[in-house]
Amino acid sequence: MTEYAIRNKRLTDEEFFRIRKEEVLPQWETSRDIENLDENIAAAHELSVGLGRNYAIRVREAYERGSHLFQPQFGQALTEFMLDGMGYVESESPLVPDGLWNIFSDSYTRKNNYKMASDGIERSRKEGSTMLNGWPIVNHGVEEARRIKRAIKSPMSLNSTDEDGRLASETALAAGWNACNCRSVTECMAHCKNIRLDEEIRINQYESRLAAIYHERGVPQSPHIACNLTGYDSCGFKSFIMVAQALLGAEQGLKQIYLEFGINMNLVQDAAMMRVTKRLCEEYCKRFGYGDVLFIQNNNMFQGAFPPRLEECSAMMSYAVSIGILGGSTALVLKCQDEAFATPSKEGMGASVRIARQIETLVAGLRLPIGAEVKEEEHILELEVRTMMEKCLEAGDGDIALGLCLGVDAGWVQTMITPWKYNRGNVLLMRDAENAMRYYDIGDMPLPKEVQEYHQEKLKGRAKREGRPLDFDMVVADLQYASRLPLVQV
Amino acid sequence: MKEKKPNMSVVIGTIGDDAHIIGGWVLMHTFRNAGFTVAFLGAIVPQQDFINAAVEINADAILVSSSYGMGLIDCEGLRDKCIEAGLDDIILYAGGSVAPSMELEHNWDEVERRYHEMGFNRVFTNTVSAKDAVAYLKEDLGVS
Repeated sequence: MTEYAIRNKRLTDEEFFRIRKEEVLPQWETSRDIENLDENIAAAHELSVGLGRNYAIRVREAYERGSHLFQPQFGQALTEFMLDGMGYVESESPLVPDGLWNIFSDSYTRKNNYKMASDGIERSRKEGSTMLNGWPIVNHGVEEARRIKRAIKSPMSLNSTDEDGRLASETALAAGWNACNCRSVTECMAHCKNIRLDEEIRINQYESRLAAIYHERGVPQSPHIACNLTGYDSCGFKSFIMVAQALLGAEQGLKQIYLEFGINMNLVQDAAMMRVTKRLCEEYCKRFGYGDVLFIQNNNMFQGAFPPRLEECSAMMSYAVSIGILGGSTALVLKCQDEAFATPSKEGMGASVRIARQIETLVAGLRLPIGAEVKEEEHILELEVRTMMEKCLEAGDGDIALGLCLGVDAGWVQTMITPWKYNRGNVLLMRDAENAMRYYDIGDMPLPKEVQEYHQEKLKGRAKREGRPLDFDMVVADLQYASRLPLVQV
Repeated sequence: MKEKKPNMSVVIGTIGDDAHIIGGWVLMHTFRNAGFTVAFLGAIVPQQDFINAAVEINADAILVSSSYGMGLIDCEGLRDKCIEAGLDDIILYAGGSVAPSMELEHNWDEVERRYHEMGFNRVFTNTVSAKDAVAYLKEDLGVS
């Protein structure tokens, strides 16, 4: 059995600054402009709180008011493209004042391959169009990030994921952005192949501690805890990893957490997942002594395959936004009509903001009534999440970081399909007659009998509706359940 | 060239820097259910890993998945590496979005020709079903 040194324990200042000096700043030359953390924090304060554009404050105020923030995503190779694209969306769609930005770095930056990102910048300059699928924040450095911050009205959060986002997050925070996603399990499963979970947790502890230091010194931060995973994951598993990651973030000192739900596109099950998760994040954090963490529920969209045509894509977005609003979310991250083909264009993102704002107008104050169906889903989800949490906490002798690592080894902590080599991957998921996500086979997950039976029962409804027995082909067909264009019959 | 007796074993993986794992994952399950031994290498797999796994299980075939449009580059030289490793008559299939999307749509014959030229026995678009892939391989192995 692997011995793990990782523990869910706050980094001391000494450890934090040692890691910063030895592992983070040496990654690339632009770190010379962010060596002094005191200066970074002062600049961030001026650019975010000072300009009235602090991300965490904007999200908290919207949550308290009960209003919705729409959050387009954008990322292209050059700063000029960013200013042009983001400026376009802000002036041509109803984003301001109730808007946020989710900014992506490119895939090379996400893999810490700054040399290739540099080549991508050069090629983009030559070609006059973006050759990268995001904004390479580390290569451009803090002054360029501040230039964007000054020019763009809506607060920004950086999504620079994969194995090691520490230098990207340092750069973003120093420019007055939000960053530091709290995301170890999520990230291993969504984007990684070889890194071990204990190492990913260690890397991510630094990012959470970094955000907490800014927060403690007057620049509020609201790191995201996402459950986007691969797009083909059960609601219970999504909820479980968010609760587990909340304990990891809270130990490092996070005080405001943006729960970012990648939804499975079933109104009842998704709403139940969001409600249960928030509740259990609060409960488990209290139990471990972090009683003052504010959790705010927000949506991302479906992370699986999107259909390759404008109308069907728009329907996907509309339904996802409806689920978010009816399900009680504050901020809603938007995808766009380019989703099935390419990275988002400014026109596509502008169109998404218009669609979302119109749905908000239509839905107004209506929220999903919490009736018997929602309560039943919540009961099952809660049972599942509690079982998984207790199993890991017990294995880790009360330590969730250790428990998660041991849970991966034992096959308890696993999802269906991921490039991550440590995933056991013998769980199988299928949609029921109402397109809720169910366990067809729980593999090695330690789920209670009641949960298993509930899912099996729901799946029987699909077998009946389709008039054929359940089989593995249905699991496969469900991977494209929303992305196949309908046949035209004449 | 020695005639190899089929032992119903295949190597499956997504080649190159491509993280799209779903196509290979579906094949893995379907081939296992059809009675094959499967060495599943996941995504982001270098050519040499395919060869090493094929030698290890004495595979009848290597099934290469590619879904980010750069398969023509990533698959080049795979047949030569097989021959170097003594896998002269191993069957090679490729499938997925195996070329840039415009090429796939308008120029499939040319895409197919280039894969054949690279020593692949068959190449499939991403609309092929995993069951059909099993049937084709059984036919090529003479075990159907």
